[in-house]
Amino acid sequence: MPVDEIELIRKCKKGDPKVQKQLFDCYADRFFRLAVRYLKDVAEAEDAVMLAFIKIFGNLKKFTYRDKGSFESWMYKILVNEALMALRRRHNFFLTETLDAEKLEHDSVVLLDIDAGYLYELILDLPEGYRTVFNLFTIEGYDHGEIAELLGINESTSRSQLFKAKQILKRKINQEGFHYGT
Amino acid sequence: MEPDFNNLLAKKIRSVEQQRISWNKSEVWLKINDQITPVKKTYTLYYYAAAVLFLLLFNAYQLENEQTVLLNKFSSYETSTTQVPEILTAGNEADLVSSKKIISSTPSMHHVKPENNLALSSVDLQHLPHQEYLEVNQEEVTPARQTELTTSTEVAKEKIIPIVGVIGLSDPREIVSQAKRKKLFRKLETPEKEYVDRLNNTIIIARSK
Repeated sequence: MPVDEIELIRKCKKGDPKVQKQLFDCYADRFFRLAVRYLKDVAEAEDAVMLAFIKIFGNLKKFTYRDKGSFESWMYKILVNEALMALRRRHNFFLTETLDAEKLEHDSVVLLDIDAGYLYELILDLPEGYRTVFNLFTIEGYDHGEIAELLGINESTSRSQLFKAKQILKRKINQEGFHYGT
Repeated sequence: MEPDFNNLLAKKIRSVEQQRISWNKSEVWLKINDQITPVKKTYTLYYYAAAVLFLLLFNAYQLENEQTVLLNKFSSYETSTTQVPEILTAGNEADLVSSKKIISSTPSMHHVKPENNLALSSVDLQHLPHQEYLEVNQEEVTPARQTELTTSTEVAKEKIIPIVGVIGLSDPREIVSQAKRKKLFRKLETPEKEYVDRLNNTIIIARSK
């Protein structure tokens, strides 16, 4: 509800602890799962969530409400940045592997039969570099240029990482008896 | 094709992330709450520091005032000594009295006894202009001396402030008395010859130039 969301933001800006707790309860689980999807480590994910919420509450006065979903996407961006920073702390991204992205083609995918939880687990099993690019591109909706900027890599590297991630997913799904693509 | 795939995949993943999950949620919230809650600063230490600073400044101000008073007193002595050579070299009573008036009329000397300031410590009596001294019978000179002193004490009684605690200065009263004594014995005219011949029947009155 936009009105409630506006009111929630307004009260959070004032520093109302009850409303802050309410906001945390509303988004914490989603944030945690998202952090785990990037980091695969529970403790690191908790730290990322914590740091993200601290930044959210700290920078809330700078946030300007535009439309429905703008607040949520603003918070998600903060969390994703925190997750990426945690990955950088773990080690640098040296994703120099490139492929000719022009030749990459994707099959049309029928995902309706695949269990969402199982898909989530499959994504977690992806190698870190592939997983990161896959998450950013497929789920968060960044384009390759943005991903390249975020991770400090070339766009072609981003494309190749995504391609390989999808190939791994396809192979695993086929191994499990699901049909990935046509 | 690819956007559909991505959208479907994103929806599926988001639907998973909407589900509740057990994790250290409360613990994380406590950490967040610790970070975002403004720390209540204890200002007691600042109050103590401010009080100490205030006392130090106050003491410094007081000390400075005391030093200023002492310096003012000292400068008043300096002012008086500039008058002394003129007084001592004048050589007559009229000059002496006028000089005392000058001293007493000096603004910085209002609180100082004029007689005591005639020759305060900084006057070097050794370097005063050389003058001839005559030996005179002091007993006979005494009346004239008493008369002279009478006038000076009247001026002195008006403003008396004890001068104490000035480091490096000798007792001004002693110096003044010495100066007065020298003043009284100097430059007495010799009696006329006719009286010298008849000393037995003559009262010698010495008069200073």
